[in-house]
Order: sequence, then structure tokens, then C-alpha cells
Amino acid sequence: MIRFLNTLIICFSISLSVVAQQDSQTSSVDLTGASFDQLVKIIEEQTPYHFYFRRADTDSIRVTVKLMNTPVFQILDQVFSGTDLHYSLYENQIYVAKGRRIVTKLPTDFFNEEKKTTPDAVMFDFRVFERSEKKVKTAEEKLYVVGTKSADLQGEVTLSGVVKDMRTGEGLAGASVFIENPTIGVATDPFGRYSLRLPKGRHILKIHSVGMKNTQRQVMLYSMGNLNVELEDDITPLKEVVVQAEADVRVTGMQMGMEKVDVKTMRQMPLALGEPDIMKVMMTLPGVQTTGEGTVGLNVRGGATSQNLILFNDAVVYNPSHLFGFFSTFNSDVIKSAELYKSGIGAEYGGRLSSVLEVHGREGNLKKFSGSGGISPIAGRLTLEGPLVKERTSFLIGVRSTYSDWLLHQLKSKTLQNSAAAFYDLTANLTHKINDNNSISLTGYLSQDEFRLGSDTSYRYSDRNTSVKWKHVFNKKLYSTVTGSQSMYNYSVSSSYNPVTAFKLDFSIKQLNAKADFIFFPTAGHTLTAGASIIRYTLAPGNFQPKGTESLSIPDVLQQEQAVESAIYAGENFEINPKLSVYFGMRYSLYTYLGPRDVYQYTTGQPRQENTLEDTTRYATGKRIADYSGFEPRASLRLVLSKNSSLKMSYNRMRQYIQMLSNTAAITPIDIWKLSDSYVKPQVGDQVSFGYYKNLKGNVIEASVETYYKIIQNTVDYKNGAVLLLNHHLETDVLNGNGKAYGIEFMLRKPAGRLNGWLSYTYSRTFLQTTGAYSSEIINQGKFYPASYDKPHAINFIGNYKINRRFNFSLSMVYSTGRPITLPIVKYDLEGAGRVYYSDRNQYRIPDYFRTDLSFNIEGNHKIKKLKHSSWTIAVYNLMGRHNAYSVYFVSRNGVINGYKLSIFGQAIPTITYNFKF
Amino acid sequence: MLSLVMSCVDPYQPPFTNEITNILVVDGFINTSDQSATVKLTRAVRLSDAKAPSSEKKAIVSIEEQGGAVTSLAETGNGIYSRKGIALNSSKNYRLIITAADGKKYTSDFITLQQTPPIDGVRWGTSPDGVNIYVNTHDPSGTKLFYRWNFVETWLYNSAFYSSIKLVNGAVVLRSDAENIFDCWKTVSSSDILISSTVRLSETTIRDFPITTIPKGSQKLLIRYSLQVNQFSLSKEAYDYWQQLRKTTTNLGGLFDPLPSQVTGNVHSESDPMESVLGFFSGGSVSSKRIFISLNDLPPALKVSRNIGDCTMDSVLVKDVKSVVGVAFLLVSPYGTPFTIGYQYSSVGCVDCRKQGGTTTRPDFW
Repeated sequence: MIRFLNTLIICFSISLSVVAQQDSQTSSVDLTGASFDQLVKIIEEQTPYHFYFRRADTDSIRVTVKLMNTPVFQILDQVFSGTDLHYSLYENQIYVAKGRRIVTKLPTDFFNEEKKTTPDAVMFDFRVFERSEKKVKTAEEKLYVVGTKSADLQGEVTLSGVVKDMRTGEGLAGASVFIENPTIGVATDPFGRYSLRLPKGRHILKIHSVGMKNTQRQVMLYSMGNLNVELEDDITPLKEVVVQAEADVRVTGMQMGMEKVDVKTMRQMPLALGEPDIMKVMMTLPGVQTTGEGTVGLNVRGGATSQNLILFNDAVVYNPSHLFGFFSTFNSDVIKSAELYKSGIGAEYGGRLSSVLEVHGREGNLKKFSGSGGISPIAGRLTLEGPLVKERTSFLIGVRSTYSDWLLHQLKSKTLQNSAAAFYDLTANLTHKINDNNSISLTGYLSQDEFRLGSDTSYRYSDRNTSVKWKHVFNKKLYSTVTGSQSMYNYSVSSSYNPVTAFKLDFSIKQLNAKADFIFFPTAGHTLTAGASIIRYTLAPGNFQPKGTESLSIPDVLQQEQAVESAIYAGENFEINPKLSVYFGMRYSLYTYLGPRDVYQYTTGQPRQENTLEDTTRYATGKRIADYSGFEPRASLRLVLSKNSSLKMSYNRMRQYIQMLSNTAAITPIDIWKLSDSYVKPQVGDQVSFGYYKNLKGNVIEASVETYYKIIQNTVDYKNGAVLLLNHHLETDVLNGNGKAYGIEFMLRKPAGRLNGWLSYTYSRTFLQTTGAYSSEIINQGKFYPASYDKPHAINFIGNYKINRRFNFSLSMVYSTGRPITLPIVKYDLEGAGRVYYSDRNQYRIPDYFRTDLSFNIEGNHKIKKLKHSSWTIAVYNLMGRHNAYSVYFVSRNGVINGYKLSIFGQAIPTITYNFKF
Repeated sequence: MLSLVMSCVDPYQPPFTNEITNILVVDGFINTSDQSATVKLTRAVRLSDAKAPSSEKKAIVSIEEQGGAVTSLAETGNGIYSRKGIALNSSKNYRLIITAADGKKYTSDFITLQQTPPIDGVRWGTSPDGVNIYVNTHDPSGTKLFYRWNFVETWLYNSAFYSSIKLVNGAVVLRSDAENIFDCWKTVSSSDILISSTVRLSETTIRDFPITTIPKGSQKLLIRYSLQVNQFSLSKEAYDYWQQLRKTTTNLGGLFDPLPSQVTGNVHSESDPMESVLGFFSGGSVSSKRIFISLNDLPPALKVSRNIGDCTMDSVLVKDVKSVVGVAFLLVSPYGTPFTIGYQYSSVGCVDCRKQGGTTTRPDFW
């Protein structure tokens, strides 16, 4: 925002001021802790100068100067010392800009006469700083000539290239590359590549990306060509941008219902147990809810926790939680960013109903060896990265582990001393640039949890993923990515307390993926995507074995399940004119449930029960048991209404062939996954969504309203008292139902400035309906009833306030309606004790949820060149110590029925974390 | 577990509900061991009601043998309907027919009578925290897979002070042995649902199934303790019923606990299939076993001597005895030799063991 502070135009004629830096007007200033605005006012009153600046850039500085009759430049030098602000003068107009100087004359020989705007007194190592500044500036001011010079400047040509991180050399995904007049822009693909049709001629190409300094390039475009751009990290010492959805992109971009969170946002959030957590940040965004405290399962727009496609570097993650869900399995140090798609999901994604959460891991630094880590009372983490072959091959390895076992052992309680809980995760990445057109990247990911609570049953679960990705550039207009990945999830439960009944129960699921994606930019305004994928699932739903020689447990092995899911898709993004663009995509998926397997047949006209089991059909290996297939159309539309407002619409259909079965409230490690078979049908979801986006006060505040309506077919429901573990005929306990969800999401966000953050309100409802021919298959008389994650009202507030460059404070407040529960309605006596009988399913709610968290970040000193950068985070989770109900339950003890409310965090939880980076 | 470290549990009062609460509860059992049938009918009450569930009076209850005779049960009061000396045939199926006081008719599913194998033993072991009692059984035929147990505990305890005298019509007289209010027996039935199955075991053997735990220092262990375990074989349906009932009433609300659900048994309304009927009807033989544990049997660490707590004695002169001793206080013993000067007395609760819920009648098996 450029602000005209003074409407009076004073016509002093100081002809030119190229060398005016030395002999600026003088002014007297005596301020203590004043705002920049006040300073401006004083100077403008005393001199003919007018200031132009963005308030978001300057509201974080506090002015304390006492200078009498001092040249204005000297005053500004002092005020701006140590900040990232620069000024320049042109005809009595002082331009203040962040990160760069506004150029007041032609680029020729500019640097020879440039005056340093940053004095030597600060703690920076100026040789490094200046070099980098100079590089940025040179790049920004230099005129890039693309193509061969010609006089013909008619028509449009394609400009393409890669946007990279200057520090690590890694491609930046989702950066926006645009020109403002006319408004033509595009976001970079996952490898940082962009391709843009522009009119020939001179343009200022702007490049913005989350967490990076904005930059621009002067381009003279004669014909088709290439321009690579390196963006500078918005480096830690002077970190300004905290939460930034690309200001322009939110309104002008094609995508709707998408939330992007970068690592910096994550670090700023107040945290439970001292670990920054990408999933916890996601939970504060509108339309995203969670069943309860201590769970990482997301319920996105009325979807179940199992309806999210969670991808880490393209490999599916089945259980993203550590330690009963208090942590997510993503180590914040190895993550670059995460995107959550709630609607407008592109045709390239499929397989889950509600959302796609794409977590992008970082690639190792291509330029130098570095590391980072952190220590909190619960867990420690360490990440190392660096080049193996400079500028070509890099590695990154991150580990995280807990010592909470140690913590448990410090406690007085005997039960807790006998308990054990531990986790670790490991992420490794190897990236190699074969040449300019080919690069290959390898990611391995392992997370493991183990816990034993007071009792003797111990649980162990782990996710193991590997993926290989090959990016290939055919030419400026056609890119491809070929990915192969393997995801494995398994858990085991074992008990050896009673030697006679000692057992071990194993569950595992494995999926092998292969896919190829192509992006093609044929002509101006068109982006074509197409691809194909195939997944093979192998599921071992239960293997119960005796443990120890004395055990009399009979081995019980459930039949293995296998299936193949394949899909092809194509999509076209067409920018009809700068105001209107549309996207059409079509995905066709085909699923086959395969033998070997014995399939039970039940008496027709009878409910599916054990006693109506009539016959068994045996299918041989590779034989088709059940087939499902269907089209999944996707469409979106964007209409720019004005420079800062737009309207978007989208429709998408999704199909899900693998279901999670769980009749507990939260995601638990012992939930079962089930492949669709002849009885359990795949889920199909249709969502229509509308959104209106408006940026207020010149992009300082972003406002949006999104609304959606969703219909789900074949939701998974359960008979009362269903048994899911070691069930040889799950079809007798699982039911297929219908669901509908609708809601409206309001969001106000101030992405930058001294005070930044967001406020959102969501109204949403989710209902399920299960009705069948028999009474055991009807839930709640066949009426629609609220899903257990239906929470109508949700308000989230996140605020960050920067006290100064080293201290920053953030506050988050979360409110939501309590989740539905089934309450006991009557009591009766049976077998010597009071018993309770429950209401229809989900007819009541637990008390509303409200929580306040606070955190305080203290950065180390701001020397750029020092051995390590460190910071401290002091956070308090649940500041008010409110006893938020996680659940309500009733216990009959000694014949008396008592109701209890269980809160996971019954008090304020303070933590302190030390983070370092070298 | 972290959540245990930080979690907390508060009492919770559910909101008032307007749903139908007057649900019929049937607790029926045909006992082939003594050829009897007992059915208890009650009506459930709203959870927030202070009153206990009411018994269903004036119902007509009968047992029907599949393809055979119908035997009606006699109402014996408190909603209990029973009959002894029924010629029960273990190979036949039976069902229950009820006509409630309001005229509505209910029937149960036909049930098979379960032959319960004998209890191999009731064993007790000790831990630093107390005494654990276990049951062991096996089925030689290898067919009985599901079991349920309940138990009755009886223990002897003493009041704080032994009273040798009493006040009768203003005169102090010696208390006879028959009037002893120092030794009392207290009997309590189990209230937990104790079930187990051998489905996942290669032998139909139940080894050391934990029945109950008596904490160290409990009144039960101060003198002598006895426990009778009753064992029932269950059908698969009955086992499922009890398991669901246990799940929904004893363990819910934890992180990994299942969502509660409606548990109904095998009795249904004839007129309205959607009407809920609670409780279960089952039948078969019962195997029982009794054990005793005396203070002397316990390891030294668990031998806790009797503690008289807050009980104290006071004394009163002979002439004042009438004004002090009465309803709230009882005499303990005389003092003064060779002539009685006065009497020691204490509060009723410290002298009369019956005030702590027991009875002075010695049980037959003691």
C-alpha cells in the first residue's frame, strides 16, 4: 500500500536530487518510543518532503531519536539502522521500502552512486549482507532481455522458468509469478516451475512466495524464453512475514478451499508439549475440526478422519499421530510446507473423500552443510543437511525422539511407573540434479510408536514410506513427474501378563503406488494436466498368535485382502480472459478386489448375521471378487470482480475404496482399515462450493466467505455393539449409510505487519443416515443423525504481535460446540448393580470447548554470521486451565451410577523449547 | 501415559431428558441344578431420578417349553416371580412369556439350557496391596466356551468394644452369649460383570480368572473372610449380551474406548418391535465353590490389626447410669472392685456391630 500522507503539494522546486543524499533538508526530532507515522508527521511539517510507504512495513519499528537540525537522511539512517527498511529520494518524495531501495533513476551505473542505506554500526557482517543485497538488487533492477531483439512487439509469447530458493537452490512450489498490468499470473508447480503467456514488450514480473522475500524482475520480452528467479529466504534474524497466504493469489488465484501453511506459521503457533506441529496449525483453519484434544485426526468439512489423503512427499501416511495423537508424525524441521485442499480438488488427486493434505518435505541444502534442532521436555530433534556434490546432489536427514518414558518413570504413581511410551521418527531425503532437465529425489520416512499403559497390554505401531520421484523437462512447454512409492502401516498389540492367555496381534497394510503426471502449456491461457496411477493394496487385517510356550491362545489369522486401484485423469485450466478462468478435470478410477479369499454368502431376505451365514465361495489368487469404477468430474471457476475481489465456484466428486473402521471417538492406533469388497461398498462424495474473496485496505486484510454442500454415499456405520477386531465376517457388523454435510466459513486475515493473524468462524453440520431392511441394520429409526464429529459452531483466533525484532508473542483461542455423544437416559438394576441404557446415537453433546494458548518466542541475537542461531519458545497450553471435556462417561461402581467428565489437559501446561540452527 | 499425568476427571450431571424412560427390565434364570425358575421384573427410571427402579407387580409370568408345557410362576413380592420343582428337561428349549400389569405382552427368544462344568478351584494369592482371588475351571467335553461368574462375600468383624452388660428397665444385667453384639457377619453380592471365554484358547481352560481383590487393611480381612463363587456357562448370545453390557456400563469415555450403544437382551415386545426391553433370560446349571481366608493365613505384611478408630469409652457413676445410657450410648463393662463404682460406656456405633451393616446371626456355612 502506498499512502499519500500529505495532500498538500508544496511546490518547492529542487530540480533533481540524484546527489541530494548528501545535502538533504534538516529537521529536528525528539521522540521516544514513537511510531514511524509520528516521525513522518514531524519531518513533513518541517521539510518539503513527502513520505511514501507501506504501513505494514513500518509498524514494527519504534522511533527513539533526539537530533536537532540534522539532515533528514541522517535521521532516517539512524531510525532504519538494523532494520530491513530503505529509503530513496526523488523530487522531495521519500520512498520507504522494505528489503530493497526504490530506484529513482535508470539502472545504468546505479550502484556506483548508491548510498548505503544501512550504516555499519549494526551487527551484520556486511560483506555477506551486501553481497546478497547487491545480488538481489542487481537482479531486480537489471533489465532482462528475453529472446532475440526484433521490432515486432505484437502478440504474446511464453515465458517460463524455475523459481528457486537462493539459499538452498530448491525449487519453490506455489510461488506466484505475475505482472500487474494487465493482471496475468500463475503459481509455480511443485518443482518451482512456471510458464506464462505474456504480451511481448517490457514488463515488471513480480514473484511472491510464502516465507520468502518478494522480488521482481524487469523483463523485455521479444520472443519465447526462459527466466529463472532465485528468491531470498525471509531470513530468521529479521523474520517479518509470519502468516502469509500470497496476498494477490488469494483473490486472483484459481484455487479455492485451499490452505497453505509454511513452517514459519507453524513455529509461531502456541504449542502443546513444546513441539511445533503442522497438523495442529491445520486444525485452527476454518472448516477443519478435530474430535477431541490429543488427536491429530482431521475432520475436514464434515468428513471422517479417514477421508483425508495425507501425502508426505507423495507417499500415503496412514497414521499421522505420535503418542496418542499429541504430536503429529511430521518433524517440523524437515517440512517445507503443507497444503490442505478442502474443495476444488484437482483431478490429479483421488482415493479419499474429504480433503488432500499434501506435506512437502524439504530437500537438502545444495550450497552448504547445515543443521537444526530443538529440545523440549518431551522430545528432541536434530536435522542435518548439505550438498554431497555441490549444486547437484544434496541430502537431508532428520530424527526426532522422545524421552517421555523417562518422564513417566519420574512420577510417583505406581501405574505410571509401569507404563512406557516412546516414539521416534526419521526422515531422509536425497536429491540429485542429473542435468537441467532431469532430477531425481528419494525420500524415506519411518515413524514408530510404542506404549504400554499401567496394565500390561502393549501397543506398537509404525508407518514406513519410501518414494522415488523423477522430474523431467521435455521442453519449455511439457514437464513430467514419475513417482513410485511404497507405504506400509502396521501395528501390534501384545500381552504377556497371564502366561496362559499371552498373545500378540498384528495388523498391517501395504500399498505400492506408481504414477506419472504431465503438465503441458500449449498456448496462452491454457494449462493441461494429465496422468495415470496404479495402486496395489495388500492388507493383513489380523494375525493373532500365542506368545510364550505356556500360552494356550489359538492362532487366529484373518484372510489377507488385496486390491488394485487405478486411475487416469486429465484436466484443463483455461484462462478465458484476465477476469474469467475455468478448470475442468475428469478422473476415471477403477477398483478391483482380488482373491485369494473365501467370501461368505448369507441367506437372502435375512439380515447378515453369523447365524444366516449360508455358504462360502472360494476365489483363487488374482480372481476378481468385486469391481467398482466411476468417473470423478472436477470443475472450478474464477471470476475476478474487481482489482481486489473475486468469486469462485467448484464442484468435485471423489471416490474412496479403502475405509477405516473405528467405533471409538478418536483415531486410535488399533483402528482397522478395510478394502471395499462385495459387501462394504466404496464411498462416493460430491461437493459443491462457492467462495467470495475480498482484500480490504489494499491487501492488508484478506476477507473470505466460503460455503459448501456435500453428499456422501456409502458412509461406513456400525451396528450397535459391533466387534471390529479379529472379525472374520466384518460385513455382519458394518453397515453402509448416507451422509450430508454443509457449512459456511468466514475468515479475516491480516497476513503481515507488527500485528498479524486471523479470525475465523465456521458454521457446519454433518449428518449420517443408516437405514436397512432389518431392525439391527437401522440406526436411530433410520433418521439422519449428527456424526460424532458434528460441531456446528467453531471460532478460531490466532494473533501474533511483535514486540521487537527479538521478542514476539502469540495468542490463540479456540472455541467450538461440544461434539455429539450418546448419553444414558435411564438406569435399572441388573446383577446386583445399577446399569444404564443409552439414548439414540449422538443425541446429546458434551460441553462446549474453549481453550487459550499463549507463546512467547525469544530469538537469539541477529548476527547473520555466527556459529548457530538459536531461539527459545516458552508456551502455555490451555492457559486458563479449563477442564474441557474430552468425553463423558458413566460408571457403575458398587451399584451406584456416577457420571464423569474426562479432560485430557486439566490444567495449564507450560513448556519451554530450545531451537537451534547452524 | 501422558494423558493420565495431566488429565482430570470431574463429576458430570447429564442434562434432563424427556425420552420414554419407563422401560421393562427382565432378569430371568431357569436353574436346572434345583429345578427352579426365578424372574425379576422392574421398570427403569430416569437417570436423574433419586428413586430406585420400581418393581413390576401384578404381571403374569410363565415359562414355556418348546412344543411342551407352559408353567406359570407365582408372584412372591418385590417384582419377583418364581416356582420351584419344575420338571425341567436340559435337552429342551425354553422361553419366557410375560403379560405386564398394563396388559402388554412380551416374549423371550427360546434359549438352550447350559450345563455348567464344575469349578476346579478358587485360589487366592497376595500382592503388597492386598489379596487377589482367582477362579479356575475347565470343561472336559471341550464345548463350553463362555462363562460368567458372580460371588457372595461374607466376613466376620467386631465392634470396637465388647459389651458384657446391658441396661434393662433401668437395671444393669449381664448380656448373654445369644445377645452378643460384638461379632457380626456381613454379606455382600458382587456387582461387576465377570465374564470370560475360551474361544481364543486351544483348550477350554480358564486359568486364574481374577474374581476380586481385597485391599490390604480391609475390614474383610481382619478376622475371617469367606467367598462363594457361582459359575454359569453361557450361550454365545448371552455372552455377547453381558459383554456389551459390561462395555457400556463399566469402561467408557477413555481415549480408546468404543462409543456406547444401546444394549437390549433377548426379550421383545409382541406388539411393538421397536420397543426396548432390557435384561436377559437364560438358564442352565450352576456350579459353586466356597473358600475361607483367616487372618492367620495371611503373610505378615498383610496382617493388619483391628483399629478402633475414633471410638472412645467414657465412664458414668452407678447413680447416673440411667440418665446417660439409652439410645445413643450402650454399656460396655463395670468398673471398681470389689464394688462396682460405675460403668464404662460408648456410643452405639462402637459397641453394636450391627450398626456397620452386618448381622449377628452366624451363617450356616461358618
